[in-house]
Amino acid sequence: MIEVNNLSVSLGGKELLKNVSFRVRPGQFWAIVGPNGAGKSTLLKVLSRDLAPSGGEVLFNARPLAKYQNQELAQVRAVLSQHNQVSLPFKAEEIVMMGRYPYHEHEPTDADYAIVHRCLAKVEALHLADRLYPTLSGGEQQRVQLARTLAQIWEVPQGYLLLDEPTNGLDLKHQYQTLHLARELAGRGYGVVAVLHDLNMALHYADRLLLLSKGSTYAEGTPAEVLNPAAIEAVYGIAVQWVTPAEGGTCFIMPQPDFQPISL
Amino acid sequence: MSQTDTLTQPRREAGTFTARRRSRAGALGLLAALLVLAVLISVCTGAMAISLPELAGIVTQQLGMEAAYPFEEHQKIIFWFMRLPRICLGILIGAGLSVAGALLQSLFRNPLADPMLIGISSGATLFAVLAIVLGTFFSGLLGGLLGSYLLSFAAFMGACLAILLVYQLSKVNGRSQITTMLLAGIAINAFVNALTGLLISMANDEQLRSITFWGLGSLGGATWTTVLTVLPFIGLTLLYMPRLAKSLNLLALGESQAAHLGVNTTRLKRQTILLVTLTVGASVAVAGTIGFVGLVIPHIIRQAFGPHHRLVLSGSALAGAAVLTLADTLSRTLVAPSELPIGVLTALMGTPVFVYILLKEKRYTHD
Repeated sequence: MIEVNNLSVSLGGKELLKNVSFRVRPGQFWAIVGPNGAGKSTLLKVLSRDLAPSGGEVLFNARPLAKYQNQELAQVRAVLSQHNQVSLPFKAEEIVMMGRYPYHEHEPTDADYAIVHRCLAKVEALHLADRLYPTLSGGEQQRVQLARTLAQIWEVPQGYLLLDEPTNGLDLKHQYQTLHLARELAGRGYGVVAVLHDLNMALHYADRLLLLSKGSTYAEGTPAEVLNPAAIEAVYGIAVQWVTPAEGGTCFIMPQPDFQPISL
Repeated sequence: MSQTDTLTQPRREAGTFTARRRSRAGALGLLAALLVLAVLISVCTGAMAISLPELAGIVTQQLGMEAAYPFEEHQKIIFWFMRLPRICLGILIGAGLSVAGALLQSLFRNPLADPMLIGISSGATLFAVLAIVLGTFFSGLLGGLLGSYLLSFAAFMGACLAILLVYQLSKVNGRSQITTMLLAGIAINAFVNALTGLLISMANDEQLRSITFWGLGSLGGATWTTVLTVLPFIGLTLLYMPRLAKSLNLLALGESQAAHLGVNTTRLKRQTILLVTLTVGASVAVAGTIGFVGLVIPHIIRQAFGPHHRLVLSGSALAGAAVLTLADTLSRTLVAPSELPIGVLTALMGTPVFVYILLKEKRYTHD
C-alpha cells in the first residue's frame, strides 16, 4: 500500500502541494486530475522520489519512501515520466530491456527477452522492436516507454505503476488501449497511479479519483462522486453537463452548449 | 500473469540472446586484431627498421629460447628500451583518453563532451605551464630529473583541482546537476585558459618552446618508468568501467529515469568523474594534451556497433589504443629524424572523420 500523509511541497518559496493525503491499495487504479498547475505532476514526482517533500510523509508498504535504496524501489514500482528523450540510437527492444536491468547483474537471460517481447506486444509495438528509438514518432516512443515500465514490474506480484500523463501523444485507439491496460493491471493486483487530463478517460477507467485544486485536495472518491458538474465548474471554471448517449451506456462529460471559452 | 495473456503472442523468441553475445565478441575481436596489427606496424617501423623475423628472434631469445631468427644487438636495445615502452604508453593513453571521452559523453548525455571541455585538460595545462615558468627559478634547486617529475605532478594536480572546482560549483541544493556541471566546466575552462595565456605572455623564449611542445602532446618521453607511472591510473579505469556499463545505458533514458530503475545517480556521477580525472590527469601529465581521440573514437564505435556501453567502452579502449599507436608511428617517422607533435596528427586525422560523422548523423535524423 502507498500511504500519503499530509504531504506538502514548497519550491522556491511557492507552496505547490498542501496537506494532501490518500491511500493506494493493491488492485486500485487511482487517477489524479485537476487543472494546469494544480500540483498533479508534483505529487507524482514526490511518489517517484524525484522530489523530496517539505512536509508530511509517503509510506511504501508501511516503510518510509526515503528509507529505500533506489535498487529496492526499482523492484517494486515503475515510473513513466512525462518527458522521455533519448538521443543515443538504442533499438526499441534495448530500451524495453532496460526495464529488466534491476533484475540481472550483467547479461539478460532468455526469460528477460521473453518478457521484453511480451510487453512490446502488450502495447502493440512488437513490430518496432528493431527500430531505432530516436527515429520513432512521439506516440510510438511513448508506447515503447510504457512497455519499458511494464517490463520493470512484470513479475512483481503487487507492484506499483506511476504514470505521468500516459496517453500523451497517443492516437485515440492507443489512448484507450493504454488505460485499458492500466485497468487490467489493477485487476491483477497492481496499484496504479496516473495523472490524467481527460476527465472522460478518468471517469471510465479509474477506481478512485483525486481532484487537486491549487495544490490541495478538492475531492477524493469514486469518479462518479468526484466529477460532478458543480465540482468541475468550481475547480476548472467551466460549466459542464453529463450526457448519456441515446443508445444507453456510460455517460460522458461535455461543456454546456452555451459555453464561451474566451469573452472577446 | 502470462497464462491469461490474450494479446498478440510474441513472434520472436529467445535465441537472439546468444547471437547478440556472439556479435559483441566478434566486434571486440575485430578491434583487438586491429590493435595487434597497429602494434606490429609500430614495432617494425622507424629510423631503425626491424623486420618481423628479427622481431621473432628478439622475443624468442628474451623468453630464454634459442633465437628463432638472427638479429642485431642494437635492434634489440631499440626494441626493448625505445619502441616497446613508447608503444605501451601509446596503448594506455589511447585507451584511457577514448574511454574518458566515452564516459563523459554518456554522463553529460552530450555527444560533444570531451575531457577538454570540462576543464580537466586545461587545468592540467595551467599547472604544467606554471611549473615550466616557475621551474626556471627552482631548477637549480631541484635538478633536471626532479624538475620533469614536478611537471607531471603539477599537471596531475591541476586536472584534479579543476574538476573538483567544477564539481563543487555544479552543486545545487547539495546535489550535483549534470547540465550545471557542463556549464561550470565551460566557465572554469575559459578562466583557466585565460590564466594560462597570462603566464604564457610572461614566459621567455625557451619556456615558450617547451610550453608549445607540451601543449601539442608527445609520447617522446616514454620510458618504462612513465609506463609504470600511468599504468595504475588508467588500469583502474579499464578494469572498473564494465561495472558502469548498465548504469550508463540507463542514464541515456534521463537522470530521473535512471534513478527510477535503481541507479544511484550521485554515486555514478562521482565514480565516473573520478575515473575520468585520474585517467586524463595521468595522460596529460606524461604526454601533454592530445586532442580529438576522446571525442572521435567513441563516436566511431557507436556508429559501427551501436550505443550499448558494454561494447562502447571496451571498443573505445581497443580502438583508441590502436589509433594512438598508429598516430605515434606516423609522428616519429613522417619527418624523421625530427618528430611531429602527436596532438597535431590526431587533430589532422580526427577532424575530417568527425565532420564525416556529423554529416552522416544529420542525414540520418532528416530521413
